[in-house]
Amino acid sequence: MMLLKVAWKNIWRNKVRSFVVITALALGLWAGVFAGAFVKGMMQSKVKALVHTEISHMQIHEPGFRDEYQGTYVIENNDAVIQSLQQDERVEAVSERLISMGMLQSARKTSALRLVGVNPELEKKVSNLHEMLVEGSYFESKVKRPIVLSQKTAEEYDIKMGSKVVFTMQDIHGDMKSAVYKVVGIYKTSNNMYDKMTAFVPFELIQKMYDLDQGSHEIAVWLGDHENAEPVAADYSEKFKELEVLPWLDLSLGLRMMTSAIDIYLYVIVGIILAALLFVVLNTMLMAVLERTREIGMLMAIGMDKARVFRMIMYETIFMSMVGVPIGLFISWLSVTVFGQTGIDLSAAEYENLGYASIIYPRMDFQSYVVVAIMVLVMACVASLYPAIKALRLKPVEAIRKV
Amino acid sequence: MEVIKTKNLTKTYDDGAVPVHAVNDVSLSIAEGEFTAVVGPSGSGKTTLLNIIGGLDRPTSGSVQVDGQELRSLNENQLIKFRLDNIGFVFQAYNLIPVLTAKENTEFIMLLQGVNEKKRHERVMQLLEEVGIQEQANKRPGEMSGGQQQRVAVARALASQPKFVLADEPTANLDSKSADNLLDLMLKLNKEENVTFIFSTHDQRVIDRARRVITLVDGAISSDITK
Amino acid sequence: MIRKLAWRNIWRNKRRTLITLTMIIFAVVLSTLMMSIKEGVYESMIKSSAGDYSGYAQIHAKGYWEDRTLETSFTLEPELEKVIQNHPEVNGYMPRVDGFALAATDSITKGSMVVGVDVEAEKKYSHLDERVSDGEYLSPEDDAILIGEGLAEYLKVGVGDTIVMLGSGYHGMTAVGKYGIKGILNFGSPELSKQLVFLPMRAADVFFATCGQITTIALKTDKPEDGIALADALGGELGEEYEVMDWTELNPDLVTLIESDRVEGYVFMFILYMVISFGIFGTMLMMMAERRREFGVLVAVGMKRAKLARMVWGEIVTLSILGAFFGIFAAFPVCWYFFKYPISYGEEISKMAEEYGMEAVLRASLDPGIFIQQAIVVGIVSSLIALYPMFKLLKVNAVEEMRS
Repeated sequence: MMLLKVAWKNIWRNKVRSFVVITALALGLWAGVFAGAFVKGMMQSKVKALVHTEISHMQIHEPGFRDEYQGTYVIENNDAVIQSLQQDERVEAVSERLISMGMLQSARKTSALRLVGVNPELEKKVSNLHEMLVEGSYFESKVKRPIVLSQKTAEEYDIKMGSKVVFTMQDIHGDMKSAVYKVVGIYKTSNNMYDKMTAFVPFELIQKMYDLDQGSHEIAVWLGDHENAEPVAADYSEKFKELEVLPWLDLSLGLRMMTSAIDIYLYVIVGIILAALLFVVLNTMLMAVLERTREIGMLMAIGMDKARVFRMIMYETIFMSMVGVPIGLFISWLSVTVFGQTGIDLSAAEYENLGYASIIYPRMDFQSYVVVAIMVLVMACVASLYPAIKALRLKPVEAIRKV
Repeated sequence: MEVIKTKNLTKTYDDGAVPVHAVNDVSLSIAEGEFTAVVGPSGSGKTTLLNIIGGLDRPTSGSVQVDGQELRSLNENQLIKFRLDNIGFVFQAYNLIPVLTAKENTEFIMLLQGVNEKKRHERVMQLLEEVGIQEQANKRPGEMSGGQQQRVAVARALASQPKFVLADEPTANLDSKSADNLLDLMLKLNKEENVTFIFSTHDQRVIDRARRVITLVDGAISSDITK
Repeated sequence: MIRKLAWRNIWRNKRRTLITLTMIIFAVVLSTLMMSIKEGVYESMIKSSAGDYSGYAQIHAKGYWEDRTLETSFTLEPELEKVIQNHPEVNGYMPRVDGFALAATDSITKGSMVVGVDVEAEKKYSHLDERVSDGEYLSPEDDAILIGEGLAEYLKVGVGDTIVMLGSGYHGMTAVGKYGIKGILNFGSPELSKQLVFLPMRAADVFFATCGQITTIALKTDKPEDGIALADALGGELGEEYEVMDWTELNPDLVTLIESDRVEGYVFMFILYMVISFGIFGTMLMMMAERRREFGVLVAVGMKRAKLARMVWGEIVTLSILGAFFGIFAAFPVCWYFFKYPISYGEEISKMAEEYGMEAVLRASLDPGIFIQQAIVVGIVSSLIALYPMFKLLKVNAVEEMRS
């Protein structure tokens, strides 16, 4: 249709205006995508650290254990569960733990601490903590009562390799028990809060302190494919109805909260960016329309009705979007890919204290590109509505009189 | 056949303390086939008068009929359609759509009217020939001289076979040779095709060729001479 | 002369001026809004973590923070009190004895933070009495305790029950005592709720054998910044035996959280500024294009290009300043709206956040510093962007421009 042709050609005639709008659209699209990619990258790195080091893909507990870490909440049939898991081909490794919330005491300090009893060989397969040692070894020494704790803990309690500490806890009978341990390894993860509260000893030692014959508090599972976490968890929930089986998503309270909170925060940011975009396009289109009073007046004089004038302007916007959006998509994709490789270094802040790595790799999925592109397109059309309507209000007389 | 008929046409502006009558109680009629010039000094109201006759402006009081249709009873959208079908315009400048070729510019009116492609094409070529611009058919306004642009404007003005063509200072931006050529063309169209032309002008060359000259002073007709 | 021309030019074409102004105003509003929401969240976090309970500043005996033992304690001398009272920004101060002990029933034991408090002071300044959800608040002479809801639940005790506390006191003496529970406290943070036990100062003194010494004075001020300034000032005024810390030193994790979030925020601000800057740039480009003929005429008539460039730059800078200025006033109602009606996080998160005693919303901050800062930045950015048109003008060719 002629109108489309005229609209298309009009774009190239008014070069400045078109440049501004097209670039604004491309830039707005980039902004939306990059902000989103940044956030996603953030999420990914946080999740990765959490899963690899601390929680693994799936954990099984006695219901109620995770509330207070009370020693009595023992998984009685742990052998059966472990056997079942080991036979499952989706499962790569299984490790069990006994956990105690008690008091750690050194010459300098006394405070609460969570002691985890592990089988080192099994544990290595479900967590990469053993790779995080800065001093000593992960239970390779011949010390009878070894303990591996964090650098943060060592600092706070003023202890070092070879130091002795006392751990006091309540056994399953309710009696208080204490035992001495010698520091054989010091680790450091990127999560200070985890480090502060966690130390490891051999499984048997805690078992003895608890005065337990069998059973464990926590069974950690590492899967071949992390995407399997929820279905596998569902399966075992079915199988062992009396136990609590959770996939990694549900294991960290902070995780769910953080995911949703970040989503909302992202919407706010993208919202603001889109608002900026809307305004820029509106402004520019308005200036352009007002600049074309003569031309539009002439068109209305010779008989182009208002509907057509309106459509012509809207077509112009749509065409400009069709140019701007692909450009925007390209630069977005480019920046995400480039920074996705090199990462954005945020080590200005002391990120590690919180459990995040300081380099963020932006990530974006295909779907989101499409969503942002559509939002930008819609925004452009909405932005043009007001200028287009203003154009309609022009009276041919006034327009022509400007001659 | 009366093409245009005005009765007690008045347009008043209430800008300051004293109301200004741009057009003051003008009654006139223009017949088919006329070649008429409306003249007068600046501020005489000729532009306003022609704007009203052309349906671009509304009078404060009085009536204006084109081909029997009272313009005052048409709303904005209807007026646009009426202009499309019944009135041709040749402005002093900015007549053409800059991004379209001469052919496309001429075609434009018919497109707006919804004329089918075959008919459009025939008529366009015919019109371009009539105004002697077929060589420039595929050129854009920016690639033509002023005179050539105005010819295309005439071709376009004629495309809808209007009741009359309003020409507002069409020669003002042209050199004397182009102006003469343009006016001769219009005169020829008037004589051979019976196209009604109404000019608003200062240009003596137009006045010389016009068969009727209406002079406006302070919004009222001071003389109306048919040669 | 140039200035007069520039100024008049601005008002000559009202529509164009208005459009440019609005662009700048909008830029200020948006960047301020983003900043404001970020800062608002931080304010909220600081308030709930440090605010009421631990105070924005604390006084200890030197070395206490490293140590955290009762050994590093001090006496609340009247001179010390006078120094504190000399500071009008101190809304209140609360002496405390912080210690650690195991709280035990017959069958259950839990490590807990035991705090000896000045009952009246806490009531007045930290409104501890308002946190009592069951039972009653303490009186100074009581030999009873208040415990957090979380702890009560864990130990399976309630008002009227008795628990035993076992810890280590001053000079390593064993601290043992049996106390009735007079009341149960609601603390937003589950962490605190599961660990806190409050004793009147006198009883704590007996329990820990501290002989009237205290470990902490918590200082309350209106704003976090006041706390930092106060800590600085007091640090100077008090002797070597004391250490004064502000909330940033007391809550390093919180500070890191905020700082890292701020850095992330800068990335987003950067992205926003890219879009806004381009908006301003585009508006200027359009304006230049529109006035080409005008510029051509001016140069043709005899205005030196440099003068023309300066005049236009002057126009733009004036508009930038005006726009930035009005932007502040425009931004205020927007931020105020999000202050009064903050963005809610959604049901799930709200519940969790409330458990932590945090506001489950994104609330805007009304700190005037933010508004002014953003306005200044936008003003400077647009003045810099204006340099581009200025350079373009230096190359203006009269004839070409006039032909357009």
